[in-house]
Amino acid sequence: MLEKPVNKTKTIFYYIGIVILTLGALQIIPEITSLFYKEWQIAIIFLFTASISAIVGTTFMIIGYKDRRASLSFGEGMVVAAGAWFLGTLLCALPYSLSGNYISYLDCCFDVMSGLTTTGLTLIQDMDHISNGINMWRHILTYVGGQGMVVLALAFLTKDASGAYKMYVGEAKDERLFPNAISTARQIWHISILYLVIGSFVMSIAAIHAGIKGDRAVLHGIWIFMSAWSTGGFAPMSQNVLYYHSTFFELTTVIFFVIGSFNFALHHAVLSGNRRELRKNIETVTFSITLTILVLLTCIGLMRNNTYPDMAALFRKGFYQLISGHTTTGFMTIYAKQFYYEWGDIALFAITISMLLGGSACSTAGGFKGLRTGIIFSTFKTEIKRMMLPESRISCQKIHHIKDVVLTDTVIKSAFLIVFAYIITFTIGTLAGMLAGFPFDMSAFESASVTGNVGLSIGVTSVGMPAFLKLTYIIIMWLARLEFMSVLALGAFFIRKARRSCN
Amino acid sequence: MKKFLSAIKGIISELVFAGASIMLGLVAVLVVWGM
Repeated sequence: MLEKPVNKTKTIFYYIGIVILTLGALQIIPEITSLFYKEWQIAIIFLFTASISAIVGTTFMIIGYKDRRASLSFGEGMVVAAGAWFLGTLLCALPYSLSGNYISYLDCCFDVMSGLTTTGLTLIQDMDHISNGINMWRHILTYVGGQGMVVLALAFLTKDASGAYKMYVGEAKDERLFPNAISTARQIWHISILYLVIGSFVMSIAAIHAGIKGDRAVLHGIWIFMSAWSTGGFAPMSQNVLYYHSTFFELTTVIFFVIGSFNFALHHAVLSGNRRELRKNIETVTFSITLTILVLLTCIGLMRNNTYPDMAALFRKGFYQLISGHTTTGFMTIYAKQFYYEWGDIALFAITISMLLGGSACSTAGGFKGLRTGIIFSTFKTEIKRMMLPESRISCQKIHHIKDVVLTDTVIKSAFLIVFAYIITFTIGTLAGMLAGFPFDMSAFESASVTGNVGLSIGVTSVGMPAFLKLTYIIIMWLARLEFMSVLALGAFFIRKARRSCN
Repeated sequence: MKKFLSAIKGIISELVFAGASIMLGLVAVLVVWGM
């Protein structure tokens, strides 16, 4: 007797269901926050929206339950990741929509996608007076998005997923800390939670030092740490980090967002005793070089423009925005319009490049990533060397990333391809900004911020910007965070389904 | 215990590296300001 063939679409549904259920379960945290602060209306909203996520997630799991053990291909793993992000965004936007803090559902989706992709741009209304529950939800989304919602579901809700590694790769994380993808996902969360405890404590002290009192200091400490670690850029107040007016607070955030932009494989190596890796790793070396060059360039630009009157202001404002952009965090200590009216072309150019370069691969950061930048520069160096050497000499290209790695043509091609995709996306974002009526430099800056999942704004992102630009930015944030392939796999999946149903 | 100590030393190393990147920025600002 022939066995019934496995329906892979149902397997995809099953895993998407697990992720949606995880997102529903996460709403317990803002629910508790709302109850603690007696925000009854917000508590009811979270109870309602968590139930909807639970119902949708469970329905998806029931649909795919019989076929859950089928092994997924890389393409199907990517469809799970991109599909979960798409449906997750729609469902996570429900609390925002019901809270009345947004003028449209599109704005809610924009903020959720911005949070999950750790971008940090926001369209919320009257941010300084929103409830603690909604603020907690904003920062939970950015914290979970940094590690990855699929990684979270793999770590805590699955015991034996045959396609675990493929789904993990689908979320743009391809480092194996352990041979098993589920153990790797758990280790990523162990590292993040360990830092959450330490970082929230330190940031709470920094908040008290900045003049925030009592439980507010603890809340601000937790939220700012979540945002810094995830290189997110959200803050509880509309003035972002400028609100605190404290050098100590600003420097503490720098320390945590720089660490947050490290590769999880690097964290794992360093925390396991291989501390030399910090100095030898191609990503930290690349970051140190590009940071130095871009800080010099930014300072030269700001000095020529006479933007800041003294060295302390130049360091606090110039260096802070630059490193915030380079790690793709997006914390700001100046107002958005100051970039356009006070910074001048050279500094704006430097910060735009820094946002595109981004942090490390397999981290919470966005952009091209240090690994790819390093590979590309190393390839150029090798090619130049090869031109100088006799033709008979065979040279081998190596980089150091956790161990010495010989670069194959496939790895080099992949690095160039992804960087090329980022540049195309950046170009489309810039064009969309210009079509909406913004000048080229403003459009390019904001597009770099969206493409690199950064969150620094020059003033383009606002409630009043056209709906098509909001939608373009949402798609760019999604594409860039999942590094293109997963979203393209989801598109191909739907096209194939549509063709089959037409035939 | 050994693993715990190793993790603590690792965290301190990462904090030092992040602190060093601030120093790097400060030196760069000093260089440009001094020019």
